[in-house]
Amino acid sequence: MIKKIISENPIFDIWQMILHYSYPNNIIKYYKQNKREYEIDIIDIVVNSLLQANEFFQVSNEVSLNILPMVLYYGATNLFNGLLTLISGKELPIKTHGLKLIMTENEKKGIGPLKIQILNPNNGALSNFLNKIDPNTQNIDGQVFSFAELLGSIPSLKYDFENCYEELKPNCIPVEKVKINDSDIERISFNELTRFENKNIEIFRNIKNFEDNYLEPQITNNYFVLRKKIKSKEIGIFDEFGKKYFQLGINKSKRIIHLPQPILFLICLYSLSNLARYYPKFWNPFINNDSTGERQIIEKFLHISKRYLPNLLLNVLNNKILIFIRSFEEEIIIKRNDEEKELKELIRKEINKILKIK
Amino acid sequence: MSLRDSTYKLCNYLRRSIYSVELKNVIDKLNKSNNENINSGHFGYVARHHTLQFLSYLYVNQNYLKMNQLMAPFNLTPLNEKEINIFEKGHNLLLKINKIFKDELFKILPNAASILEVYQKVNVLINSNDIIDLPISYIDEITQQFLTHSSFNVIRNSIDQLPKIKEIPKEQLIMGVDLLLKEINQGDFFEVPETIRKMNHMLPIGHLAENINRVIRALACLKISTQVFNQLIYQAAKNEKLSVLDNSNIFRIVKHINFYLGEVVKLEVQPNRKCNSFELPLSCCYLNIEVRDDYKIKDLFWIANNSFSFGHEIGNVGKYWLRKIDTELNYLIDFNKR
Repeated sequence: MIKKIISENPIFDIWQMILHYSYPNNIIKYYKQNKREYEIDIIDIVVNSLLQANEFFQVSNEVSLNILPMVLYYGATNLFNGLLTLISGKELPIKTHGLKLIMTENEKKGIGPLKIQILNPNNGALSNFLNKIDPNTQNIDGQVFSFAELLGSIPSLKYDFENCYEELKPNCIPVEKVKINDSDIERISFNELTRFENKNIEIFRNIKNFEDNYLEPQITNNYFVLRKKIKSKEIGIFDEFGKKYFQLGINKSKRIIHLPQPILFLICLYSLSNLARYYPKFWNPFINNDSTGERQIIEKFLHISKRYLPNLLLNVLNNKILIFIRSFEEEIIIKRNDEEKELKELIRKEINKILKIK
Repeated sequence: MSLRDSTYKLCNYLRRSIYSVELKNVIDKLNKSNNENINSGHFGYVARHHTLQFLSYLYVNQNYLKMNQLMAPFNLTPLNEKEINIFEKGHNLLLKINKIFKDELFKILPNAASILEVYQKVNVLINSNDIIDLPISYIDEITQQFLTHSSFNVIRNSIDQLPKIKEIPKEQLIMGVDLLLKEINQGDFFEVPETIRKMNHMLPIGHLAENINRVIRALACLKISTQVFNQLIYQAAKNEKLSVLDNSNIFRIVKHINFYLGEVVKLEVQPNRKCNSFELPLSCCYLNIEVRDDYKIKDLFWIANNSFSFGHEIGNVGKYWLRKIDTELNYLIDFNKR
């Protein structure tokens, strides 16, 4: 479900909604309203985590790229921990980060090829967070992802990603919404799929739950035309402006892995903070002398993390897609509900014309 | 067991018969276009649009010269004897069963019986008496079920109340039923036509004219059941799977109402292998849709109308206006009991 919220200052409003739960009374109310049980000890965990998260995010506006990834990662882990503990009602059994950056000589050439491995399914923060966000998620213990695979799955970075990594395919596809008469359709322009060798409906098999929610895509000259099934759920992902995308799963030898958006952000933030903290020989030249242009997409990613990661976690808490916009976009609707009447009128005019001529 | 069940039984028998293989081959040949012969496929195209079941092909065959003149550049070539015989066998089966229906009606209301001769206005010379070979038990079962049609009771009761109904001239009854069905089928399907509405308001219950109207409504339902029966048998005989409109092709339920003239649904679909875009109206289909977890529609429906638009920017789209068919094969559900 999508809910649009008009906001003059989305960051402020998002944090207002999050910090609502930094008050113990509101936490208790949350469980009462949702008729859920909770462990009393979690109140301090939630309050402390959310307040710390907020401070880290606030500080992130004041720091340079030298430490920005670390500040955001700490903010993010606190935010994940606070909100997901709130949802679960009990303390999460977290002892480690639950992931590891793999640095070899080859991977020091850039951030895109860096590898990150998921570890500690029971006590790792990442696996715990993933299970709380998507309880039906696939087991990804031991799975290795490249930084670029994850970055390419973030919708706001689609075009920056294509510019930066000329050889790689992005894992998200923008969706256009069109309203015709009283029905909505969605379509995907072939221009958005220039990196895909085959522009056929196979692409859609990589989208989680696509077949359950959409009719078979139709191919026209320039678009894939998509229609939702009668009993469909929203399976799209959205950027911070509310633009819809489909997220393609990450293809791993024998399976396709779908990671939720907040988890993608968290893994990327972990990787960058690890680089900044433990690999100064890599990080310092990268932020000061990068000639490849990769620094630009990393900066944009960090910037979007500040604005959008709290929003994504708020979505998890509310079980809704909350889109904070400054004003309602005027929707263009092509309405032709008088089709039949118009047709009859046309026929009448034509008949009259013929009769007059005769 | 109902008329619909017994009809399904016959349909299943026909689908497995050698006759259905022969008929399907002929129809496929007549509808198939190929590059070698630019006229191929025309015969089937023209015949399909006549929606007279088997008789469509015989009618086009009898009139192919006239049609070639009228419909240039179509160049229809006549059927050969074997092909004619195949269509005649099917048509004769429908005539035989329709005659049984008619005879049953004749016993109650002789002056109305010809209403069930649904092909009487089509003048086609039938050369043989050959008929699809099938066990008589299928026909007996259908006859038994047809006799339980609720319209018969309505007619009997009305005659009891007003014996003069038996004296109404045949032509007037035929005209009454035809006009009623024309009114019902030419509107937008979701409204009770003005004339029917006025008629209902004007006539007090028990009034003489009300009794006549009730009989006309009952006769209309009997005629519809006969037409639906014929169409189901035809679709089965040519081994055609009924179109299925379901969650794999429906993207919008535009309107769905249950009212004086039965249950009507308007849908928007994206044609797929279950419902092809060459589907013509006045045929039967299944609607099997899960609207919500707790609300499903699963039944036989009559395609009252449909239209398709192709190949532009928004893809292929079909619109269907459907009427639910009840166990008496009637799509004006309970109209005879109003």
